[in-house]
Amino acid sequence: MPEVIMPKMGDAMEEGTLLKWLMSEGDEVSEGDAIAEIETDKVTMELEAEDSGTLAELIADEGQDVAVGQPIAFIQAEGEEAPSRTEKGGEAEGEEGGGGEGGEAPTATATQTDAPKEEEPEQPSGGEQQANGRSNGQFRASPIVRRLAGENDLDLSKIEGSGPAGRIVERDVRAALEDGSAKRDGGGEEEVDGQNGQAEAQAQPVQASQGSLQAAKLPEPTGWPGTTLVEPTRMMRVIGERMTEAKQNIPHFYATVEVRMDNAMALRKQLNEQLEAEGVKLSVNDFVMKACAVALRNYPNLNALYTSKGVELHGAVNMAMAVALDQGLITPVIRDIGSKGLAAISRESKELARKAREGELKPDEYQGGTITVSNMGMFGIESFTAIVTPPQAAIIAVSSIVKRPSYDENNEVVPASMMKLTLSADHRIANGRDGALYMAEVQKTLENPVLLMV
Amino acid sequence: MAETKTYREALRDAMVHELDRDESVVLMGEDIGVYGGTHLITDGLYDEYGPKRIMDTPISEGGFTGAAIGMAMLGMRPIVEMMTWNFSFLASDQIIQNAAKVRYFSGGQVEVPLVIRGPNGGGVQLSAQHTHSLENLYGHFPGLKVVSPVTPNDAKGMMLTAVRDPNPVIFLEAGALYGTKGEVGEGDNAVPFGKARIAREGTDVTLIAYGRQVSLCMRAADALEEEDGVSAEVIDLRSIRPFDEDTLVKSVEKTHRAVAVQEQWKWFGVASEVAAIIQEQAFDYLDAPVQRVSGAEVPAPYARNLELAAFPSEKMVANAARRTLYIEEK
Repeated sequence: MPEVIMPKMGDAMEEGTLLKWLMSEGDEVSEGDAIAEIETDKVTMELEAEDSGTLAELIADEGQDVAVGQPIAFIQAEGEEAPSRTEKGGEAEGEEGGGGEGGEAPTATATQTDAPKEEEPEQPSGGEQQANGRSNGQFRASPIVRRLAGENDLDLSKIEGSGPAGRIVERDVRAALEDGSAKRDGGGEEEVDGQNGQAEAQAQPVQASQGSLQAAKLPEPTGWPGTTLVEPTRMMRVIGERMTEAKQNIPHFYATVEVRMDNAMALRKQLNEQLEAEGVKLSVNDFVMKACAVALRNYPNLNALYTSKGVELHGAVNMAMAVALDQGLITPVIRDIGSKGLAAISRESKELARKAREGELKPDEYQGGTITVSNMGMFGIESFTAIVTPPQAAIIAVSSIVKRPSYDENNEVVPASMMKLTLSADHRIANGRDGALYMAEVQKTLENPVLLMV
Repeated sequence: MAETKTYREALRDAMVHELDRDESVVLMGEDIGVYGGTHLITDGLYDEYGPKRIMDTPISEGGFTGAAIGMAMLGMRPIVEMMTWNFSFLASDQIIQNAAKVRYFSGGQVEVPLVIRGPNGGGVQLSAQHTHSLENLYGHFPGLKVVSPVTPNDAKGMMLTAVRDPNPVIFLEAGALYGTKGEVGEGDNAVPFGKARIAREGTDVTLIAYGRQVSLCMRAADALEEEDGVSAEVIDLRSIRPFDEDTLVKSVEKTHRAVAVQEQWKWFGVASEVAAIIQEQAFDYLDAPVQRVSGAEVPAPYARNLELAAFPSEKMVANAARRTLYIEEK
């Protein structure tokens, strides 16, 4: 009988929250029907059935965190018998009991007949098959790994094995010891400090964030009248964790330029009049993003990722753009923005922003950015600095355009539209000189917007 | 004080040292006297010590080995040359049934201070009947000591120890290395049995061998260092029985990986014993299964290309080490 499992919707995703069932036990479902709402650290999305039949059993409860790959429901095809009642799928909340080991497949036949997302094809023969080879406390690990894990209080479930058949070998543990990523939860105050800057590579983001809340020895709520206690959403917890890591681990430096935007504004007005019939309306941000991308040509180390094996310089600019949401923010990505014209950028950024607000972004639409632009110009901000998003090298904070008195070439006072741009960059990847020269290049490009055409 | 000598000269030095030191020491074997020995190990000794101490024997391994056992039981210290260890099959009844057991049968009243020595192993195109590595065969029987030196210094030092040992010693020489040179300690440089030698220090993987294969491991260690930046430790076991388990286990506790190398066939070989000892005593330190590198499961070929293919190579050893390190083979 086909299982409906918690899908993996991003590289870093370890578990998701089942927000809401959209169908009930016993309902007939067709392939493609939305059956539940799932919340990940990035998005909320509808989970579609991959099979048709009767929704035989809802395993996960609403609000429950379920590990990726774990079943949340079964769809019973015509003529199939319902599976014997099994334990709840998720184990993230540390549930005890329920008639079996967490993560065990309900019956051998269920997984063998039609397991939709078996991750490890090679399962040990005989006995109950594991829906996920790592879900019941069993790991392939060399003896020295088990010894080191015991001596250093490591949680092997947080370590990815690089040996044959996923065996965890000594080098994997040494790496984990170095970046502190596999400490057993609740182990002590070093949890946050030990986190590596590469948030994407870290397992268990949610557990880690809970750990950091505990580790910081936060005060008890006062409970005073007029106060409201709000539990952070999954997205807020993850953002908090990632930004903490980024701020603690990335040596930031900043460079601000003030850009005279009159020429760009005039060009924008002119283009928008021409393109009105086509329904195109270029935004200031489209100009800024394009200028940032064009200026990167000579500064490849600002379009780079800080990886485990070194700094990866990227030729194409995948521009991540921060989009504010009610409960957080997300950064959809315009791929190879340097090769796209302003009209195409405008259409794509609007569409991505709409999808972001409506929670429709797919993982490949918000992953893979190589640099980020964050625009708060619409809020009347004079200037601000942003936190670099690991593993990227840089982020550019875009502020409001403000009309100010300025001197022209004859020392006459004239009105000028000024905008501040602040670069935040990772000093492990680039130096101040690179940042300063790059920002000057962005400034020049925006002040001479004809350069955007070349 | 040390002097550069060949393996052959080092062996001869040791026997001369003991011939001079102890009148009960005698040499026996086929063509060792007037002819000077098929491998010239005993060259010149007949002239110096005469036919009563340097005895040419008939071509009768069972006969002269049995005679030597009897002499040893009565207080002599014979050193018997097997022209090659391949011929010891004819004498194996005497060696296994008598030499190894007389002391036991007599409740310790009768000792057998006997050394049987000769070239062991292959590598010099002597084909199937003249190419055997018999350390596992003789190492199997309690009552025998079995040693297999690879350096000239050990050849001399272990021969001194062998002659002085009150028990029968199977002295397996690296026949292919008789001409190789090395520093040899002067005078009485006796090397104790049961103490392995760390031929090269390293931190990432332990290569374990004895006899001729130690040289192979040294070359493989160089290749690993150059091509992979891997630091390999090389252990020369020196003696098969008694066996130095401690040095082996301590090394693996340090490196977490081990490769056992032998020229003989894989099944029931010394490398299997090495692997078993490591897993018994250093299990919690292992990062990978112990690898064995052995000869191909065929009678030794005569043709040079086939002979090379049938024995462990530097590349096979290096690749086995790479497997324990989970890095790509070359």
